[in-house]
Amino acid sequence: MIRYAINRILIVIPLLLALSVLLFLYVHAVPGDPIAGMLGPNGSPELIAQLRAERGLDRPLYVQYWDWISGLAQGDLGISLISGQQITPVVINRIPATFQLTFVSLFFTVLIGLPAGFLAGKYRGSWIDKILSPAALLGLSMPVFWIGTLLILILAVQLRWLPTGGYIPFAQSPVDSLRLTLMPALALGIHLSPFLARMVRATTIELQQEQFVVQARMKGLRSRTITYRYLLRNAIVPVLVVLGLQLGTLLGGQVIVEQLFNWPGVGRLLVEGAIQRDYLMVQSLILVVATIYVIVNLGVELLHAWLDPRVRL
Amino acid sequence: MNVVDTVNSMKPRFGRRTMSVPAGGVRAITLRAIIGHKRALLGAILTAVVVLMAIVSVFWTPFDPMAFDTGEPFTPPDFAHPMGTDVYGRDILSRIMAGSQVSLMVAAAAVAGALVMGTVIGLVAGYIGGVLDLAVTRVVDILLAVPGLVFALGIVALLGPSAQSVTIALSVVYTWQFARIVRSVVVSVRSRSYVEAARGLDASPLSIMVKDILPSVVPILIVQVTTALAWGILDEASLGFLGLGVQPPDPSWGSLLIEGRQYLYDAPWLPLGAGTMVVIAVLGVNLLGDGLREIVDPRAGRSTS
Repeated sequence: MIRYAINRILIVIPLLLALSVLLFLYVHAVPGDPIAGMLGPNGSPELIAQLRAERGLDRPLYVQYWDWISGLAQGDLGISLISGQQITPVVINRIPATFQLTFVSLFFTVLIGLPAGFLAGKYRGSWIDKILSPAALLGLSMPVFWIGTLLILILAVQLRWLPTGGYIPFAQSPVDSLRLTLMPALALGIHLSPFLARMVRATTIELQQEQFVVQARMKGLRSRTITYRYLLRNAIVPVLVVLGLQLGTLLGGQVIVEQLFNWPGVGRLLVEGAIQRDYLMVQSLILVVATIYVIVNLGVELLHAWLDPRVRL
Repeated sequence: MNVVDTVNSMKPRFGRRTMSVPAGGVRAITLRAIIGHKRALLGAILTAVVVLMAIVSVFWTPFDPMAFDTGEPFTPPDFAHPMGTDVYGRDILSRIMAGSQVSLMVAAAAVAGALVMGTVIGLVAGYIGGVLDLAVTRVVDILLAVPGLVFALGIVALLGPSAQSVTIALSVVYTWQFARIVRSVVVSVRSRSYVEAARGLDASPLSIMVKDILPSVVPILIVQVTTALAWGILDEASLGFLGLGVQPPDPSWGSLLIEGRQYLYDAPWLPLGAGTMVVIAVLGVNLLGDGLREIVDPRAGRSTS
């Protein structure tokens, strides 16, 4: 197991380093001068040169790269192109909001996807199974901003149960904070759960034909015991794997949902950076997102290998 | 076998999955096969409706989509304005119709670009192999570590928000998906006897790639194109919704949805039309792609359903 883990980790490190080089080269090989583009018609050559020097963009590329990557290793994301301020404190400021949304979204995803998929698989061909398939198809064809807009129209505009958006820190008022998390997280949960439900359904169907389940049934074990101890427990494994793989969709969806619900998270910071063409900020944030994505997937893979020793072969 | 393979082998028929090479070879896609396949037919009809609407809008829309005061601002849906009017009294239906042009054009152009670049990269890397192949495989691995939408967002950040930037960004993101699939097909047919025979006849590598290998890639590419079109429509609307696509006052489905977000209490009907169109378009293309996948590889959908 330890050897397997070390092997996987050794693959991830060069991958992230290579990604950082690609990102850096791509950002610094933009045709035209982004600073001139940023200043627009007001940018005199002196002003452009001054800004370049202030942001350290007039140094040789390898020096800039080294500066960036060694800073990242110490948790320093560099400075913003627009404001010239440190990026790290801004990101740290936004992390609680993003984490809160992520966890509640995952909770809803599992809350919807796991029972739906499990019941559809267990009672194959029943009404719940027949509803699941078209519902999942519809869910997968619905953009997350559309699910969110519909939720706002129903829960906020029509029923007036919830505000249309906003954020209150959890520490300030836990109840209000969770109330505001409800809609964006539900939107993401509805967006992510169809995929999970289908995976769980497929696994449950396969499990019921497995030797150990058939044997348990023949031994005369109570059907409840079989359901909980044999089926549900084993159906949890794909849930973990799917959630890891779905993280990319979640991160992408979160960018949109944060925008829709005025949620001050990291995703919105990325969008703000993109709209302002603050490519120094975008470059660092993308690397952070990719690193989180890769590390979580590595974690899920190792967890999966630990739970299911066949994977290690 | 790692997690990705495990999951790929269990993946459902939808979602961002890319097709693998069927073990028993592929079947031809014919019109009769599409008509005979219920889901493919429904998908084709939905897609045709959306495309038709875009074509009609080039020549005719109920009102000029850019004209102010075609009716009172915030008129609820009625006979003259079936989808109501916005804050400037512009007709929403006309704007949705005109917006469909942008959405479909961006998606189609992005996929076409990715198709050409991805096929060339995949063919050459898969056929020539060696260091080039290794480099392409590694780049694909690295780029897959960045969620697609985030990657596209980064490219738009560099180019500045516009429809062209979105097209280029999506094209770049999808290219590697195409390259990966084409490469896998090429590697699997590279050593088949008919390719060996062509090599024995002293055919040039270019001729072998185009005449002997490319035809076996085509059916899988057709399926991949439909899948990518569904992503394209979704991603264009998403980037438009983030304010990174078409800039106001030009309409697109994504930008209509932002405008809808601003006036939810005054005019809750504003986002309904554009959102429904996105769902219809994506659902149609997804159904068509799903059907085509089963036509190409009849065993694809049967494993669990």
